[in-house]
Amino acid sequence: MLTIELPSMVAGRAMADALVDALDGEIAGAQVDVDCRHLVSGSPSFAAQLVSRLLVDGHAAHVQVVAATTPFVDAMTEAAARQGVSGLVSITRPQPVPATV
Amino acid sequence: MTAPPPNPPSLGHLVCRPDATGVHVVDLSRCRWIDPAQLVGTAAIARRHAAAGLALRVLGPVREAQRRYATRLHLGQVLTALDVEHDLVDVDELDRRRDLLEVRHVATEDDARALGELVHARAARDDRGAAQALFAGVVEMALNVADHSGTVGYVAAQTLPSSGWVRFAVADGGVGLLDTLTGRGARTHRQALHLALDGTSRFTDPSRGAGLSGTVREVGRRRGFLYVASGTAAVRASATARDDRRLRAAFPGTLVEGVVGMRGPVSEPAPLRATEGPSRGDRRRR
Repeated sequence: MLTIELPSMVAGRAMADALVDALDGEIAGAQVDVDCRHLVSGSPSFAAQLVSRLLVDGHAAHVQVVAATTPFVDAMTEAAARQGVSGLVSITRPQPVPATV
Repeated sequence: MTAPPPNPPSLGHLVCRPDATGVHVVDLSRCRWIDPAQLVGTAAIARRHAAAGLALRVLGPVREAQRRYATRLHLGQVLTALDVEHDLVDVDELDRRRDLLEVRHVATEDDARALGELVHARAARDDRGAAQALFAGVVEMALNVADHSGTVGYVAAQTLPSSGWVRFAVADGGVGLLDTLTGRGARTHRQALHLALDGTSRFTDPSRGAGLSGTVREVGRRRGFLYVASGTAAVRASATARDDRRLRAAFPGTLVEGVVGMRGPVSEPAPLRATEGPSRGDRRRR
């Protein structure tokens, strides 16, 4: 299993590329945990590129999004749907978004 | 937070008209209010003229409060850096907490991320949820500039303390959405706006194009919306509806304003010398 620990704020495709490139191990066939315990906010383009690099290009077996807030869960879910890999992404221990207005 | 959201920006003052000597003029002198969209729109037009080697003059607002606001948000500094003639002079920097973000340029992904983090840091002291939406909105719209416009863009943000809203604006004087999406079937500015909001990118890669639709979703969590203008078309998009507008004069490039609701009143700023910007009941709530 591989783990990507996200920093507090993530945005942009280059940042997703850098985090995936830093993985130590073979992505193809692996389960990848995306650890969002420290994540405060993430952009849709980051989520889209992360899904692309891990599942579409990298052929990971499965991506598990751990402890993400609702907005990032939604961004990852939409990215997976757009790229046809919805069945390969699961969400565990989602965090509530701070109180709404 | 009970006040209605501010109305979309009025872009009519951003029309460029030649004066008697042939120099193009952006005339903000009669503006009754100035908001971030007008500031970044002016900066984007100025950048476009500078890049083309065309002379431009910007006339600042006559009203003192609006003049001070435009200057305090560094529009004059941006114009000076572009060698654009203007009549905005520096003012004392008073308490600027509700300004949130003065006019800043964005050209790269690193710029976009830095601006998003800065806005988040400044907004999070009042409302962490709104700050999250602001980060996603500012950074994603700024990334669009870096990815698609082919030029430098500008970002600004402002809180509206009495009504509990915050808004940000991003503009570039680049190719515009119609040129960007002609290859994907857009034939009019309006079509291009809707294609972009539907998630269509100039790239066929399905991992591209989520920026605008994702940002509408993010600001929608906070009762907000996006106002997107390009060419002669504009759309106000919320999580549940879109409202088409037609601009009387084309905006040369793309301009986006996002509005996000705050949980409650923001930190009360120190008293200002005069009524600044849109603060008198947040004038934009017409």
